[in-house]
Amino acid sequence: MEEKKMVSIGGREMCLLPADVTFPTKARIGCQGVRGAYSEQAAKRMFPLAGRMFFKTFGGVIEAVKSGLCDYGILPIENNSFGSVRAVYQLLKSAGVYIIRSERILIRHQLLVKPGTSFEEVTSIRSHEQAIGQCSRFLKTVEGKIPVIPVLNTAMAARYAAETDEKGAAAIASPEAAEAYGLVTLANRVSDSDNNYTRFVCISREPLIYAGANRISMILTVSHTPGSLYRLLGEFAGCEVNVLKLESSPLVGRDFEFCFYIDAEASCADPEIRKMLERIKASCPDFIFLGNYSEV
Amino acid sequence: MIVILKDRPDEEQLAGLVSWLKDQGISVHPTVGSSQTILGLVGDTSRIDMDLISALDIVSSVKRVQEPYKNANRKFHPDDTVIRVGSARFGGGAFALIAGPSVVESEEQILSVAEAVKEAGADLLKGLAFKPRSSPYAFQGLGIEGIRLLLLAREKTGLPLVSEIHDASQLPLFEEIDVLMVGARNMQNYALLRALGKTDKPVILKRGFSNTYEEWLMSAEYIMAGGNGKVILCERGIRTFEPSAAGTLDVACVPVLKELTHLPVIIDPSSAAGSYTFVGSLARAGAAAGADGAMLGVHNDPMRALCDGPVSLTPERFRKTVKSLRDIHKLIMEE
Repeated sequence: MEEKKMVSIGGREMCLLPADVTFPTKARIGCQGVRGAYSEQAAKRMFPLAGRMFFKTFGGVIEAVKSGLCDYGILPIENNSFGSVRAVYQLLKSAGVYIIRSERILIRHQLLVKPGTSFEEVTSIRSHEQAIGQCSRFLKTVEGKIPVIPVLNTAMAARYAAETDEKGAAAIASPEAAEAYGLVTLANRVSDSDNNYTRFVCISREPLIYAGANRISMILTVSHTPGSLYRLLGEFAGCEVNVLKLESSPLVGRDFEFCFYIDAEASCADPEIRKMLERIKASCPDFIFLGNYSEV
Repeated sequence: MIVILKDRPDEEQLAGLVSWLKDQGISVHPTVGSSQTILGLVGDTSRIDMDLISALDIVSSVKRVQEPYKNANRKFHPDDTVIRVGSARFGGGAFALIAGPSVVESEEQILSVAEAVKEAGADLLKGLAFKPRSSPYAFQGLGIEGIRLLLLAREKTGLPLVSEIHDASQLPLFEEIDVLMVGARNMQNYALLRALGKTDKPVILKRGFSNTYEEWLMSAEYIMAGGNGKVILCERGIRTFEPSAAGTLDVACVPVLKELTHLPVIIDPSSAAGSYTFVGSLARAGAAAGADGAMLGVHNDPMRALCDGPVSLTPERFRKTVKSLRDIHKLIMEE
């Protein structure tokens, strides 16, 4: 039986777990939003048996994980049409938590109404601004006839549609939201694209790397000199590591200075990869290792 | 610290929060009120991140409680506490009348007073078997015999009994007494308060001669922290520069306390009256201020009473006072 191994990665002491330690199924999971939110769906899929606690903010989820109120937290990290959830990256930069797994959830927007309501009776449609943007073609067909109202999130839109006296109040939300609030689906697949995915990460306060981890996430800044980014990418190329994501993000409070969100396909079990990360850390003014994990 | 929850909070999430708080060494006292559910947190709450708890979806808001008393604090328990003894009720809009002699002197005395006060409308009978006196040479009460006579009086009249206890070691003697009273001199006898906290009996907590509202409520807190929430506060006069009576009745404490705490507040006007002629007026002042009840000294033969004769009412004067108190209470309730 293999032992767990402590390694230093990018300035953080991480624990490489042996293959026989499996991902936990029972735990208290924190997610943002309310019942029926896509975060809940992500939490359910990753931890089918766990208890869920809902927080109003992403920061609340992170604090809950750090303090022990929750064992793990589920946060959305990026969407394949809208890009990264910057607010979450901002928080992860200084949070001191680790990404231990990620998953991809297919976002299936549906038009939901109270049972017994027909399409002709719909008087308003509510949803989150992002979802509204992702259903632009469908909503164009009702433009001018039915008001479209943005709300804080899709689950709240569903909750409103279920609880209001307005018979024709509709929501664009997930099938899970329909189930949670007792609504029926009037129109399936109102999204512009069938290929709408959001990636969610699972965070923990324990510095763990589960066996089979093949994705590394980091946030870094490069020095303000010609070729610094070229040399950084050269490190990945030199180790034959595939860069999965490279996104620049402005640094708040600075004058057009940027940091990079980088995801690479590699495993920290490989000592060469760990050496590569040390070299990268040495060359970057700021380097934060977020975790090494696998995606389901 | 208090956590105000949103309407109908999800059970599972609430259980998760409560269990985490307990792991942090905080005891959680839930109060399900008519309009909201409140969690009262008692313990070292300085380490608890209020923002974290506020971020929970089931939480409406989180507030720190400045006052040192928590269980007794109305912020923890917004609704009045109602304490039932037999058919009598303390709190929640009722007016409970306790009457009886200062000390139990003889079978004849206690039985005749008990019959008389019952007939005049008293809800409970009081009588001391153990009487604390300023002088060691004065009559100290009949002791165990006094308790026995009180039980006899209850048997004959059905009135629940109130009597004063001085030491935790006396608890076995007070097994049959319905309501235990803590005298003014024992208000900060913490060993006694802690012992009473472990019982299930209602406790009348008299205010000490020179004690502040906060000290009084902290003494109530001692009893409640032990697990006994049935505390009735009794104002009996405080020491001021005026020597004409054995205390000055602080009527102001009634409305003030009813705002600070959810516990019932009653008045014992005898000592502060100094003479039986003033007892009625002071009792009425208490009722008018919103007191939840009054405790009046009644003796069948005040001239020959062994204790507190000058401030004792005859049964007839008691009857008249009862009527005026009930009338005033009714008027106050109508407002």
